[in-house]
Amino acid sequence: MTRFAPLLALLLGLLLSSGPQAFAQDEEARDLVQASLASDHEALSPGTTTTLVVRLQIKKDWHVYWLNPGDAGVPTKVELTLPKGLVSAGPRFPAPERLEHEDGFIDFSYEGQVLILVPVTLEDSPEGQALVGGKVSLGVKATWLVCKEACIPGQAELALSLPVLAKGAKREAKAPVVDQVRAAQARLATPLPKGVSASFSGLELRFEAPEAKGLTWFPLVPEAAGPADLKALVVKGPRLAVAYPSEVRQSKRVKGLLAIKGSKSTTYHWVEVSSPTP
Amino acid sequence: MRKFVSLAAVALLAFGVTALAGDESKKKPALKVGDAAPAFVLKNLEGKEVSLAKVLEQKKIVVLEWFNPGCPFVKKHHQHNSTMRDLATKYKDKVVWLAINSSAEGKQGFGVELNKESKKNWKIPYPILLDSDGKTGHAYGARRTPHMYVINAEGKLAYMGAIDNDNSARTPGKVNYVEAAIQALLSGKAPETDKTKSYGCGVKYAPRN
Repeated sequence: MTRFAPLLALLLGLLLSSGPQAFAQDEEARDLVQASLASDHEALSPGTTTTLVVRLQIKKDWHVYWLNPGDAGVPTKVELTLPKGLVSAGPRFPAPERLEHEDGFIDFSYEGQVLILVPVTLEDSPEGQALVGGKVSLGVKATWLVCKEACIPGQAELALSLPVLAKGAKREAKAPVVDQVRAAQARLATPLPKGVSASFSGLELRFEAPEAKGLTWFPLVPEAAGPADLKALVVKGPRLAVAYPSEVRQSKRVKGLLAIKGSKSTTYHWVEVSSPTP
Repeated sequence: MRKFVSLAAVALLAFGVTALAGDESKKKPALKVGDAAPAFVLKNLEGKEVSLAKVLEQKKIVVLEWFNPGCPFVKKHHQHNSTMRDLATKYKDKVVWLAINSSAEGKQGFGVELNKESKKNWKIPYPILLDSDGKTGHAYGARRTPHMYVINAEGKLAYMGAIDNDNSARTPGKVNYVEAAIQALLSGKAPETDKTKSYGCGVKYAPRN
């Protein structure tokens, strides 16, 4: 469970209520985001991986932000503390929702439950093998900004401890967490499917996905352009052309998440494209 | 979750297409470094008008700070640290510093009394200008609080973006982009970093019609 969040929220609550326009959020601040950490395996052994699930449960009508928060807000961060002998490719964030505000700004954010997956591998190396027979502590620090009308920063420091078994030993999977991982997969990015084309001329980013009912682009790089600066991020149908402002044309490379809406479901894909060299 | 996602996606697609159609006619090109800083005349907390054109006659550097006393990232630099007032004081002979609050009526941060209280409590030594219809904020493309603009003595934008390089809620960044811009301009150079992405809470504009 969270440790710092209640204290931080209490402090913020006190500070917020010191002005004439006090926001009645003191109790609420504490349960705006509840963070928890679980592992889909009960143990590690040299050469094996477990998937950690960082779960953020957000109070109704509030939201936290994606890697690119959009026109406002601050990205959610997940940092790992791992002992020697353990490695991770880092957190995998699910695809966000597009939240368009009444003032015309666009956020890329999450509401409700967010599941961030972090694969952790115990190396089959001298460092990894040295851990066999003991326990390892895996630490996660999550930092976020949760907003509705007002915004409240928050963080949680979580840890869990796993026993380390001998190489090749049978490790139990934890069914409820496995189910969470499976549920999270639906919003994780997969490689761009064959038949879907992406190209960047330096001025315009074009996608063509022949079977698609709709396409949405969630830009990540470059950061200088906010989504409200980019023309056409969402379309019905199989063709999307995103116009980038002039300062972006100098960066020559764009990266982001493409959502392809099919007749049954929506899939997500990381796309990184460079403009042709002159 | 799935049902919500597909409903939301459909709604957003419809919204997106409509918004797209509207946007094309309303969108002006975004402000760039090197552009003339958009003129404004805004009232300070005493009800007196402050005009950018008049301020620029002083031939000093002008710093604009988008402000909302309710935002935790504004508090970071005014309550938990005194980043803004320290910088404004340090360069007070060479720089005119103005805070602008574009919170609309009914939104967080709006109101003369609230801003007067914050100015007093946080010992802010420069004017806070009220832009409740958001016209000036939109003219500058101010998205977050704090959002900083450094205007050179010729009235052109020299820097726009974040105050510093740390987007956490408490710790000021090791690199203060506004100070770096001021120092560059004072030595007759253009700032090395002239644009960054601002961090903070969204400016609480009125709904767009």
